[in-house]
Amino acid sequence: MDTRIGLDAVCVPSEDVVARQIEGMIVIVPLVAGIGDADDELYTLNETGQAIWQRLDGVRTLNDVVTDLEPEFDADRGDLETDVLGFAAAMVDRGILSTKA
Amino acid sequence: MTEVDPSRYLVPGGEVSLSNAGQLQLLRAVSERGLALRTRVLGLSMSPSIRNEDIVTIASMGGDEPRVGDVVAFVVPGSERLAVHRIVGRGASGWLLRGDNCRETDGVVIDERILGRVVRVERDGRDVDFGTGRKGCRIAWLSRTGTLTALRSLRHAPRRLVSRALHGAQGLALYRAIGGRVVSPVDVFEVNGAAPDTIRGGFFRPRVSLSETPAEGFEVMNWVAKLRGRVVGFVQLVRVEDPDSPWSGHWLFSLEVRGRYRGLGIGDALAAQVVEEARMRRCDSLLLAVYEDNRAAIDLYKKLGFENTVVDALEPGFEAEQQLTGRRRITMRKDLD
Repeated sequence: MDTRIGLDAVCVPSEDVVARQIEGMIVIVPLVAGIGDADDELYTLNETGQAIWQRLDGVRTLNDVVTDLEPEFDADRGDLETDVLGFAAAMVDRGILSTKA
Repeated sequence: MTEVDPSRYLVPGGEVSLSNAGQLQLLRAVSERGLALRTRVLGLSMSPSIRNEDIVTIASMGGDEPRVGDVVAFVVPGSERLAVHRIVGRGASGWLLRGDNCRETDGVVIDERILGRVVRVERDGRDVDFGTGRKGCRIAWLSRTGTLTALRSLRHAPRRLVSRALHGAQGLALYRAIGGRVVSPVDVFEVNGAAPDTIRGGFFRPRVSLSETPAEGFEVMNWVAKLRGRVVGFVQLVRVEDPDSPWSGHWLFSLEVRGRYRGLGIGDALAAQVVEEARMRRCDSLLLAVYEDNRAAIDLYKKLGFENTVVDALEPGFEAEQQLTGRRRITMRKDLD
C-alpha cells in the first residue's frame, strides 16, 4: 500500500501496538487479536527512528517534527522531510501509527 | 510518496532477539493492558513440556487467580529474571513454582510476581500439549512429590551407568596412558572472531560471552581443543584491567572438556595454553575460580601449579552465590615469575 501523508499530518502511535523503551531502544510490537507477537513481528527503532517516534505526540504535525529535528541532526531540511514522511508512511502502512484527523 | 529505506529508522534487520530483561519489560507492558505476548523461550527447565526455543503465548492473568498445574511466567524471587515454570503447590504466602525439569523449586512466589499464564506452546509450527487442566495438576503433583525427578532419573539410568563406568575408567592410569596415546596429539587453536557456534561446537558455555564485544579494559582470548576436526574442549583467558573490579587481573575461565574425552590430557593442554599465553604477556600471576566440589578440576589445577588463594573482593559474591545455589566457589592462583 502507498500511504500518502503530507507534512501537515498529525500522527500518533496506534492503539494496536505496545511500545516500550527497552535497553536503550524503542521496541514496538504490533497487536493482532490482543496478542503482541514478539517472535514474528518486532520492530526496533534506531537513533533516527527513536527521535521521530518520541515527537509523535498527537499534537505536533510532521512539519513541526522536522523543524524540531533540524538542530539535532544538522541535516538538510529536504532530507529530514523525506525521512519523516517515509517513516510515517511506512508505520501507518503497518498499522503502527495512525493519523489524527 | 518517496520510499525510504527502512534501515534509515530501524535497527538493521528490523528485528532483534530480546534478552531476558527485555522480555520481562515487554511482558509487563503487555500485561498492564490485559493482553497476551507471543515470544520465544530459551532453556531446558520445563523440558519436555516446553523445550528450548519453543514459542509460548503468555496471557495476562486478567484478575484470575493462578491454579496449581498452570504454567506461568513470573519474576524469579530475589531477582529480576523472567522464567516460565509450573505452579506445583500453594503456600500461606504465595505459590510454589518449579520447572518440570528442575530438581529444586523456585521458592514461594507472590501473586504480584506472576505476570501471566501460558496458554499456547508452538514447536516447529505446530501446537504442543504442555500439560494443562487435569494433566497439569497431575504433573504438578508428580513434580511436588519428587516422583517426576525419580521417573526421569530411571529413564536416564542406563546412560548414567555407562557414564559412571567411563568416569571411573578415566581415573585409571592405564586408561590415561592408552587413551592419551590414541588422542595424541590434540590440536589447540585460538579461535577469536570465529562464529560462536563454531567455537563452542554446540557444547561449551563460556562464562564470558563470545558474541558480545568486550567492554573497554576487558580482553578475552578463546581456544578450542580439536580432535580429528571435532571440538572437544574449550578455555578462555580473560584480562580485566579495571583496578576497581573484583575480577581485576588475568583469569583462566571456562575450561571444559566433553565428557567422553576427559582423562586424556586435553584439559591439561588447554590450561597449559592459557598459562603459556599469560607468561608471554609477562603477567605476575594467573587466577581462576572453581567450585570447591569439583575435585577433578582442582586436582588438575594443582598439578599445573595453582594454589588456593583468597581474593577478598570476590568473597561476598561467592557467599551470596552459595546461598542461592548451594555451591561455593574458591579462587586459585599460579605465580608466573
